[in-house]
Amino acid sequence: MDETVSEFFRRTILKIPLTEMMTILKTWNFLSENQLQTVNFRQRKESLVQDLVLLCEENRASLNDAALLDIIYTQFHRHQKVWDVFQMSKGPGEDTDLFDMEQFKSSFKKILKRALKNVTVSFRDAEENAVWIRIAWGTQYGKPNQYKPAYVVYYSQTPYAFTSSSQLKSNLPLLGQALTIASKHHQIVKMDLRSRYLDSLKAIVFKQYNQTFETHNSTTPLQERSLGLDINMDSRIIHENKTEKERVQRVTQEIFGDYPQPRLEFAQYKLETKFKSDLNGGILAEREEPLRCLVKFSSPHLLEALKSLAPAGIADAPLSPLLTCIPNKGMNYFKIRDK
Amino acid sequence: MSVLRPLDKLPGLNTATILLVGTEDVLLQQLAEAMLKEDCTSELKVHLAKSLPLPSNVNRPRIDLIVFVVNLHSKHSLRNVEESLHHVDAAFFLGKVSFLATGDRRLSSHHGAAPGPHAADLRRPCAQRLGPEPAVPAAEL
Repeated sequence: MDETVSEFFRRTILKIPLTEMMTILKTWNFLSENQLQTVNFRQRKESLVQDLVLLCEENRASLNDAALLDIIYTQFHRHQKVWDVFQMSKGPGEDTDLFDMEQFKSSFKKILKRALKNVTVSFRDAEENAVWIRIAWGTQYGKPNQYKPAYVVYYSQTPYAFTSSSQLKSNLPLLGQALTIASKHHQIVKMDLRSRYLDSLKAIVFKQYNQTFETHNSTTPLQERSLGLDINMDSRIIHENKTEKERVQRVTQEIFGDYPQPRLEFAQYKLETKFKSDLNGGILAEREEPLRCLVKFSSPHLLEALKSLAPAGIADAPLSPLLTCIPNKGMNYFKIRDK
Repeated sequence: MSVLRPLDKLPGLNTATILLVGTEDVLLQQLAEAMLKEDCTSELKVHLAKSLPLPSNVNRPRIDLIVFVVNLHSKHSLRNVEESLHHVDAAFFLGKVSFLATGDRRLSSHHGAAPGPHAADLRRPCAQRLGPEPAVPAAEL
């Protein structure tokens, strides 16, 4: 086995945490049960990795097998990457042909190889007619860099693709082009939506987040449906503003629903507006150019945090539509200009 | 006029009523529960309100102590208390009003994510009671 491939195997296997090693190797399904049984999984990690690389050599593992292992690792650790969302569209009057996965894959690979002689493209099918694509970029004269790959997750029955923000940004237009042409679309557009949580992005874009898991019983009294604060309440505690509390709960529920919110880490608002003042005159009021400012909200779970603001008494209900429209509009980057 | 007066009603027999006023309901709830756990010679009742004046159409017992809760991180909560003070009769301040400041734990960093997803995590229930002497006016907070 080639030195570089061997090294690639070593570094890829080294990334895998010991607790996940067995699961990932089994998912990869390249080393047989018997082979895995010959390995001591309780030894020091460096020695374990060495043993596993030797087994890969025995099986004459190729670069593609290593790339596949890398895809599986990334699938298990998808939160380590930040994902962007692209939406493709067909031209007017274009036929919606039946999608052929194999044709898509070969076409995608061909387009990239035609543009850049040195590129490694690997595929792994996933559920819901999705395919995970791993691309290691090279140049006309340099071999592909296996340690800075880009990932694309394309849901073939939809016009959406999710890409991991690769460090080699210059190849992004080529990637977009290959994706568009291979999937028989006309145009590709980057959405203003980005997060580490691929599944949440999926839920937002495919509008799957607003499904309650149990049957929604609309006759349940509001008190029981609220955050459970009222159920075990001490009768010695009296809420003076009960109607207002109930109103806030109702409004919050109307806007955010009963279901768990999709997970985003931030929302960013770029403001480019002219200064407005009640007082006539003043230096800023005469300024022709718009003021520029950036407001960023961040949280381990932004939408749940926003949902809890009004019930906690920190903000008034209803919240600004600029905050509540995020899952609906599928955006967490906003540019606000004067009308 | 919807002003709270300390002696406008007869006291209940062996009862004491505390009114907690503050914008953050969850915190008031926690404080009320903690108070009710303590031993009290009278039967204790705790009323929670977002602000004053209180809704007028309600029959309520005489209020023996008002505690205004202010979150040090929220100007809104301070302003809320300032405006509520207009609805408290001056006589109340003779030992029947207390101010509580919360949120003295520093937020770990201004860059990066907040400590927890829930708004309630932004402040610890480590309140500081401003002494047993006559209450300090809001302006000096």
